[in-house]
Amino acid sequence: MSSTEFKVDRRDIQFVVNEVFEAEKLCEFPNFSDFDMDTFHLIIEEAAHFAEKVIVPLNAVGDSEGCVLKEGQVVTPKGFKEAWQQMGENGWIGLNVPPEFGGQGVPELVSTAATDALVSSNQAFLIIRFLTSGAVNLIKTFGSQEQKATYCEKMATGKWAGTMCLTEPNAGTAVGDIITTATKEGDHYLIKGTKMFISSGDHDFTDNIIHMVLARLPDAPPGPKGISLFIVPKIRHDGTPNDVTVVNLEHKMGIHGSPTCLLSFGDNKQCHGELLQAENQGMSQMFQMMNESRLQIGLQGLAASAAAYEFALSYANERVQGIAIQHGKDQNAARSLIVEHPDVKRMLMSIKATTEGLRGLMYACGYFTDMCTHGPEDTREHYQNLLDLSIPIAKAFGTDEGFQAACLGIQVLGGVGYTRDFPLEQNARDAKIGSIYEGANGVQALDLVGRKFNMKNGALLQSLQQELKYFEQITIPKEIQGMLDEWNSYQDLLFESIQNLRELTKSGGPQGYVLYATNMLALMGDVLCAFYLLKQALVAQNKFEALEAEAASRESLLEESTDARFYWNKVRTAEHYILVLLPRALSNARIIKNGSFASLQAKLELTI
Amino acid sequence: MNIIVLIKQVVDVELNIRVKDGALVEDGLNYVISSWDEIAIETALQIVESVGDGEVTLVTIGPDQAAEALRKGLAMGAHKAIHVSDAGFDGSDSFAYAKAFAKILGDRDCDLIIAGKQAQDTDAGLTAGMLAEFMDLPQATNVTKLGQIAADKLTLHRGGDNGSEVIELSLPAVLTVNDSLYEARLASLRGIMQAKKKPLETLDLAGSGVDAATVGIAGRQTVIDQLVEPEARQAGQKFEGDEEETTKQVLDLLVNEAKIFA
Repeated sequence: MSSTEFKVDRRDIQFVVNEVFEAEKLCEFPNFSDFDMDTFHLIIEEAAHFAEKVIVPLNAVGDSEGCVLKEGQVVTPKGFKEAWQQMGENGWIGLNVPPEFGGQGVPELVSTAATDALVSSNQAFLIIRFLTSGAVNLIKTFGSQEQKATYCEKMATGKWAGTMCLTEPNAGTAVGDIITTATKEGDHYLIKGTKMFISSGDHDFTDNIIHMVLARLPDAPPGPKGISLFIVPKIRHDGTPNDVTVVNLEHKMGIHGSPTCLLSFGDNKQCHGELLQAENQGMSQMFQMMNESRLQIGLQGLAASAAAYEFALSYANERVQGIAIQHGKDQNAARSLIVEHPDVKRMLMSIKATTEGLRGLMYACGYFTDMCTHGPEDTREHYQNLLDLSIPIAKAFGTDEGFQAACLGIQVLGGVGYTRDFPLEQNARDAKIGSIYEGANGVQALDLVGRKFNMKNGALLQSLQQELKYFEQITIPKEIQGMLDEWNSYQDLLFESIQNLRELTKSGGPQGYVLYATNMLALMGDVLCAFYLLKQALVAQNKFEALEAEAASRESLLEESTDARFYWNKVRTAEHYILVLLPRALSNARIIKNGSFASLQAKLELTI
Repeated sequence: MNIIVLIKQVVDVELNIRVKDGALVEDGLNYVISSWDEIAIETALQIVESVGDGEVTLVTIGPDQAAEALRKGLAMGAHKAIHVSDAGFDGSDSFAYAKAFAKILGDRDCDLIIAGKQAQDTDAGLTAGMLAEFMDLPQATNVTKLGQIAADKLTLHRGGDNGSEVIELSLPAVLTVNDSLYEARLASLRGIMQAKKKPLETLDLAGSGVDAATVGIAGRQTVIDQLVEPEARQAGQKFEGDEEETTKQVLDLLVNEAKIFA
């Protein structure tokens, strides 16, 4: 493997799915009775195979060629259209969509893992899949029988693609301020307005593009409660073009392979839309779909981290530079691979720990989705609570930490990492969007502390407290006990900090309460990633001990067995997260406790 | 058109393969379908799809884990599979495998037997040819292109020593395929789901009807005397200077060292 050629980390993905979350147990639920362990294994293997064979080769060309607007139509980079069609034919677009809507109904845990394998190879290419599956899920949940029959299967199989049209020039994060209008005319609505930053707003992948458009009826109440959701196909059912125009194509920092469009609906007052379910339900419909779409963007962050780790480690194992510090100033000593330098090793370990901690967090969200939908009735609410609480963290912490890991990857390579000769700089540029779109990360933090903490009288936090007691009922190997004790102190810190945050309401009102929401989210993200890594370390340690019992010595075992090294490294990775990365949670806790309102009191202005 | 495809599960050659004490180091290896055998599966599927009738049956002899290769082939679209697995086959060579396949396939009704032109691990390319001989079937090796397909004959191109040959082959017959023939399809998710429901017959040595004396160490004609890692490739030579100077240096080496004009 070279430092420019991406391969999916099948071993770690399979480990988390099958050995940690024990995906096979999901097959006990009637909806998943058609699956078994071998099938899950093969799904992940073949998703990785598809990624490496079809999507990886398009990553660089997508970035260098980008998308072009030609005569009002977006032309995508060479090979993208064919790859999309192949992805649809092979079932990777609608893999978690139920069979009755054209998908394969794969459990969310396994679907999340397969998506992890797919997205890490090409962040820009996968965005259209996220949007299409989001649109399918909206229509299958809220659409009429006719709408479901018209759209779902065609989209789940990639014949048509979807978009989410929320943002307008003056309504981005504050989506409640949109002014696009919908006026009833006969059996349809006339849509008029401008939508911006629409990912995959136009392209040449499919015969039709199904826009999910938020708009306001003439007599609708102001704000979010007056928003309705419409299905607006690019091509109408009778084959005539709908009145949707691509006004502009954005030139962006990254994800060049994903066309980001400014769309105008109804320039000629002929843009037909179909109402989804009922008027003024748009925001609540969108909210119900947000868990999935936000998890997918979190996966983009994980992808950036995973790619950074792989490229950086491969390079560090090839690049010779300097003399290892143990050789002192002996200029005759052999030059070392940079992986032997402690600072490089530390950086690599931090990227690895971030990747694997995030992987645990993301897959947990997939698992919670399965459990709250198909699990035993009496635990469904518990898992729903965990899912709702975890999603803003998965999205925001995943994309923030993913981006940081991507930057750290560049650092490992040094100067060449900053050049276009290596894929690290593209990886970082592509990853940056993750913290901005699908609800900026600041909004995720508001969602966490404003909505989720207070939802159902704090029941979500109670579910989390219960979940974090996981280790109390389990025999802990002594190698794990030390790091578990350390992590436990952060668990206490987390709940103390939630109390401290609530105290800020007393002194600073609602402004004070939300001021450090981002710190709260980061603190929780760290504690949760450490929790999922500890779970992984526990499995790994037990398996390592079993291997060691059969081995002549630990040294020979580590020398000879890839599995043993994998488990050994997993435990070290958890330790690194808990002792090296997690202490930044102390800083976040202190910030919340300090509760400074200096930033609110400052009269910020430029003094130029 | 019913087609049997012989597949072999081999070590993924993209990984770092090591040899220690004259044996392959198994640790850390992944196993995949030999790439030419993937083309053989693709060829069989293309023929059945173009004829619009028939079934593709995969057959392998290999340890338990070889079932993974069969499942993947079923996910690609093959209709059924036979897994012959028994420690009695350990140590077999191409001759012994060909004998075994001849016995296993002898009573099965099929119009074509297809295999890769060689296996990715041994590169021997012998088994299918010997199988044709043992079964007294016509054969065409190194097939590069298919022509007309009829119920009783097949037109094809094969790569020969002196260029491409066009051959008409009566059926049933044995083919081995070159990787230029097709690109193997990727398994679809639907295919993966269906694979689980497709018949996978597992036979041990006794069940396969193969005489134990003809396979394994007892049945082999060749012995691997030594297994060594290939020598690491030497680093290339870099020529520096202007065009005239570097051209002269390269020519000098080609003439005097490589002696290519000698």
